Amino acid sequence: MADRKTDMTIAFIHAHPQEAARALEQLSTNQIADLVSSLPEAEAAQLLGSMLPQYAAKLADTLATELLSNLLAQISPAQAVIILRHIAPKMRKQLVDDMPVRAKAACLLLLTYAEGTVGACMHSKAFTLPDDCSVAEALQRLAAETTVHDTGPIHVVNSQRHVRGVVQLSKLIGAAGELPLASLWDAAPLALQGQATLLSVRDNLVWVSNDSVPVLNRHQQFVGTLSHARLRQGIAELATNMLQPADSDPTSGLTEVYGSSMLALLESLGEATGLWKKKREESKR
Amino acid sequence: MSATLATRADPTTTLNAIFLQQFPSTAARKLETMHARDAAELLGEYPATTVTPTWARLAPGVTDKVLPFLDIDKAIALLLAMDSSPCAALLSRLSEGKRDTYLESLPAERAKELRELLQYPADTAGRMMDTRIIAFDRDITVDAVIKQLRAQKVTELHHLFLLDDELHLCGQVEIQHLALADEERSLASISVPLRGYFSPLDPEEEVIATFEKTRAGALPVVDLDFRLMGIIYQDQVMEARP
Repeated sequence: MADRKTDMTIAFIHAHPQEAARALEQLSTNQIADLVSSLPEAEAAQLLGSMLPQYAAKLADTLATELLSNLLAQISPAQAVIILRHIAPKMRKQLVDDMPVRAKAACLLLLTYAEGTVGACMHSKAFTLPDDCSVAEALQRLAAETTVHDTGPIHVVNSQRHVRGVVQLSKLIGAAGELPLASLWDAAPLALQGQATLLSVRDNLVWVSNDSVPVLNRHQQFVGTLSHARLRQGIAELATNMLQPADSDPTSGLTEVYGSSMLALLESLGEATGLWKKKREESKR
Repeated sequence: MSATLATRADPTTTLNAIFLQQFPSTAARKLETMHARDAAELLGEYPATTVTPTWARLAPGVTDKVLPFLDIDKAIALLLAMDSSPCAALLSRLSEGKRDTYLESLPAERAKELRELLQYPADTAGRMMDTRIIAFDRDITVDAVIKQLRAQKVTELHHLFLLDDELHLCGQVEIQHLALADEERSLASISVPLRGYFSPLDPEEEVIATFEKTRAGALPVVDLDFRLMGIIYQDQVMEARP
């Protein structure tokens, strides 16, 4: 019977991954972990990739590191990195370390924003809401969230993690529960690119009317927010760090990325050579 | 999603409840691939209100097989949730003994209404039809149909009718087309239009005339909503002629 039930759940995930993920997000982390670990890896990864990152990231506390690392390696690196940014640095490092070489290299490249860029300075654990939920569900999600400290606008994202708008908490609390979130959100302010330098965005006109701005990755997906206070702090730190402390090694992160990229390249070459050899042997026969 | 669902302990139960309630067509297609006993066991886990949307979209041949495996209370709850016409059609496809069991357990008023719907005058299509039908959703693939036919241990197949999402009859597939088609093709893509159909109250003479005109081997009988009720076979009609 348990198999039939799981079969049915797998059919749901296959046919409607976003809706299955939305439903799952409202369960406890332990329940989500129970389900994810009972599914075949392909479906578990599909589900993980469809969940909002703040919920997927919570699995780091309950799911075996090896399993979570495997699942993250099966979704697109851009998606995996968005989830990884919600995870504490020590655990994040372990998860990335456990990934197969290629996925690891891709994640490290995407995780490493250069010092002094918007990406390095942003708040990567920003709480987001799905664009297809109701006001009641949004409030339920907020109430269940223990890590929301910000009272600023909440970004609303679609299933591709593209920003659809921002919703003010005050509006949300005052609205009727059955209203769709779409009826409440305002246009999101102009977004910043994670790779942009802090200095290049310092005088951006977006700061005239916004305290907090969404940050996007190369795929125009929401990866976090940057507040004006954090921007000022980042620029101040940048000025201080001009004198590099003696014990720091600014190239270590780059070396790790470079090393992993080289390993991935060598692995690809190895596979290609093996394939070529195999083909040559087959043609000889 | 309702708070009740969110607090259920087992996450697969929660997700399946949402699947059955909010995505009934996809859930019905999945249930149709299961053995009737397994499907009934799965449906039995949920309240009738959760199961009803999917139950209403299960192919007629499947509901006939699943219903007897459900406990009587769940079966009666599902029959009560159905519209009278499809409910009568479903009961008409059961054996007389089973049909009477359900009718006796239904509220008297509803049972009376269904009994009236089940009684067709002599010499009408309703009396002539065979209620053992095999019908599939038009969007499923040839491969899936063949697997389901094998799972249902169907040994003989002369006709295969197609239904849309609302279970309205929408076409038919010639068996030789089914046998020769690529496995990935949908039934809709190899279907042909219906060659004719009857209402259950059509008189016997009209049935005979239609068979003579169309030269079809079998023609469907449909209710007012164009839902499949049964099939009349040409050879049986001709053999019965005086």
